[in-house]
Amino acid sequence: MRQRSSILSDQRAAKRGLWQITGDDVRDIAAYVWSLGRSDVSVAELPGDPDEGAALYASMDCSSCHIIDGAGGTMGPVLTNIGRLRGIDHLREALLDPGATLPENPVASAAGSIYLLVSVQTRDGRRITGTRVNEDTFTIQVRDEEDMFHSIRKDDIVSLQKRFGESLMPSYADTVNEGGINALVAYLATLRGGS
Amino acid sequence: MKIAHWAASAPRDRRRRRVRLGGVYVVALALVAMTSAAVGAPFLDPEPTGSITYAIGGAQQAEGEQVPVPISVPYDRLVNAVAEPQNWFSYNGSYASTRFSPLDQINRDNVATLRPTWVYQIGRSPVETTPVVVDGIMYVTEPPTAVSAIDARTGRRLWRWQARLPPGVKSIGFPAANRGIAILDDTVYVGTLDAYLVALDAKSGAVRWRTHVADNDLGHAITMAPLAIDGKIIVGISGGEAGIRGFLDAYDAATGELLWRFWTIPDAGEPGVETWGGDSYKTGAGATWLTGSYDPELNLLYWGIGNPGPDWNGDARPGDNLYTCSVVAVDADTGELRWYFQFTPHDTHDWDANQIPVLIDAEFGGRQRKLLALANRNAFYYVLDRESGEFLVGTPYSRQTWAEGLDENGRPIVIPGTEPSEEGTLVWPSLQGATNWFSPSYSPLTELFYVPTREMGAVYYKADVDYEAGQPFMGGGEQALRGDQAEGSVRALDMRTGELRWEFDLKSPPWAGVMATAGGLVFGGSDEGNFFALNDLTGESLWEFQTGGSVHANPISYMIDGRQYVAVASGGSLFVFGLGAASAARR
Ligand code: HEC
Repeated sequence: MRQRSSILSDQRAAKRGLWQITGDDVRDIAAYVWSLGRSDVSVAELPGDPDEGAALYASMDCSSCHIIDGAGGTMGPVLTNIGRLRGIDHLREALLDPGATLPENPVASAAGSIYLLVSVQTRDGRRITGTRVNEDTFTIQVRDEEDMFHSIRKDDIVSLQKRFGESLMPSYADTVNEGGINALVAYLATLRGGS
Repeated sequence: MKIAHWAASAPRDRRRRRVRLGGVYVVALALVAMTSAAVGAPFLDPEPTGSITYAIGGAQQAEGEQVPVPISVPYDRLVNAVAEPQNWFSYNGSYASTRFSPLDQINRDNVATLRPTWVYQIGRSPVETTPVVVDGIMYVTEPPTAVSAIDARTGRRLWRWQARLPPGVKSIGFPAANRGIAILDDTVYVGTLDAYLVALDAKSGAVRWRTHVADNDLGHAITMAPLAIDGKIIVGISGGEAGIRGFLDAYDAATGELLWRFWTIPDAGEPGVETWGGDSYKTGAGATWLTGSYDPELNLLYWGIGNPGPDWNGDARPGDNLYTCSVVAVDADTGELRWYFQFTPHDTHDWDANQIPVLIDAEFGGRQRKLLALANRNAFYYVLDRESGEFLVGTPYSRQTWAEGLDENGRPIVIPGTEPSEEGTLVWPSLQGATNWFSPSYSPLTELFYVPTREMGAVYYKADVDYEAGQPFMGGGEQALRGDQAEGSVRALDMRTGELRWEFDLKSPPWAGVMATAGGLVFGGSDEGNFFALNDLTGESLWEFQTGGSVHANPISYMIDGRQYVAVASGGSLFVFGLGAASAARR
């Protein structure tokens, strides 16, 4: 398992004391520990049919925002091993109430979630809505809905709205019925591959 | 009002491009072809669109709407890299590998006011990366194998990807560095220390595919920056000190499928294998551990080939040991050898020929020629005709005590008794060479070839060695003359003759590349941490900054929002410099 190897046998970890691990290592370790209680869910016990879920995944264009095994868009997190990283309840919540718990991407720099939805109103009258890629005291980096990056100085901003609880991902609570959600969750739970 | 989109400067000339994004087609305006008006020299001649000027200062504001560009680097932008001096598209800056920046905003008159804009801390060393900058995003590699995308305007990281390296990953004979990425369309390509080629989504760092290039257990590794050409990613291999058999690979950029492999050492039955004794060709090394050059018109790749193995004991490999210590011209479609030129036949000093082949189009001997210039580790500077491989010029540019000179075909006339021995043989240059992996630069404005030069001798020893898979295969070693017995310099050579025009002395032999700019400057770095700018005509130093770590990397230049920057890695950090205010973003 990926995270296990990064903890137990990564050369750097072996050579250095624990106090020397980097922020990325910390996130990997957290993801590993987090996954311990989740990786043993048996897909067969779930109410949905994973094959049906795979078909739904394709027909609903989830891949315009997500990668599975290298293919797909990248507005949302990679799902190649989502079934190993996430529990069933979280997967269900992600589809019904996407903004409720934003993923902390293990490769993010230290600015919270790179998926936080923000709206920026600039002094010259532009409004940029997208996900926050990074932020410091003086600047913010935003990836907008059309997949363009913006580097903005806060001096140049009239208002910066952090839209906690929302997400760029649409909620499927009203558009997909219970059976469809179950099928999608079952399919996502089978995704355990990747490197 | 300053919002920097990833559009580096004002699109004066726009091309409509359709980009598929998240299932929706949007029309994006792509930034094209801006060159410095001050550099109207014929070598630029970039775009058919006529007059081209560079937006300097806030001039782009007058152009009205600023439209961010999608990350997209189609092949034609790479071919015309010289037409977009605001970007540094590839390891060597362009296919010709001159590492000349046509930007001139930072120049002899104002370089004294150059100051840090931001610093990106990698925190691990060695950092030998050359950043790639495209439309305001900078891609750097970190040791042992990681890639970070950085907002080049603020220094803030956008994403980071790190390879999972197996415990005990091998790097035999070299440090676990990584020298950079290649970008093509919306994908970033990086080689890993355990010899995989990985394709990453340029916007997020997500892995698209991963291809196994060669077995790291046998000592194969990738530290070089891949080269992206039309639909192909060209990858070389390290591991010469482990007795690998070298090769150069081309992979399908979309799928990672191997398209061709050029073996740097002929197989049994192939021409050239007779230049090896017995089975020695099977472990003859000939690594391809640095990034070569490409001539799109001739469709030829030019690549420097490493030294033969075992390094210091040539007894078991009598003969010239082709194609080690050569530069090869390889057909980019098929991987077939077009021509080769061997600099150091039967090398026993580890003077590989992996140094950067610099492609220069210039008048030579009364007619316009396509040239290839290379300052070799063996202390000679060479000029070849790159269509035919014909030897034109070869002259020493640094202290050497191993050859009386070159014959009319460019073959060295070796002084007897300069081979490594059991008791030790003192020879100049040392095994690190008169120069090494760090890049030279060529300015079409001065027609000078700038090369960081090492003046260091070494006592070479020879020892017995048997090949053992995945173990060092060197057959000896060296004791270099260090400390105050060695020194270095940046030298400016007449491109056509190799004659020394000026030199700037460095306290120690350098391990850092140089970059010439249209601002009349040559940037370079020292082992003691100095990053400096020299007058490109005289070698006089005009500016210097102490980075606090050894500069073991190549400088680059780029432009955002009409402001020119210079970047270089030093110690465990990446430094970016600009004129004026400490924070570039605040003007
Ligand atoms: C418009 C782009 C978009 C589309 C379409 C989209 N997603 Fe998402 N998705 C995101 C973003 C952005 C996130 C991260 C923020 C969040 O969790 O709300 C996300 C998060 C997720 C997560 C949680 C990941 C984690 O690690 O917590 C799952 C699971 C998921 N999406 C599945 C799907 C599925 C299944 C579909 C199709 C039915 C889909 N997404 C469609 C953008 C999208």
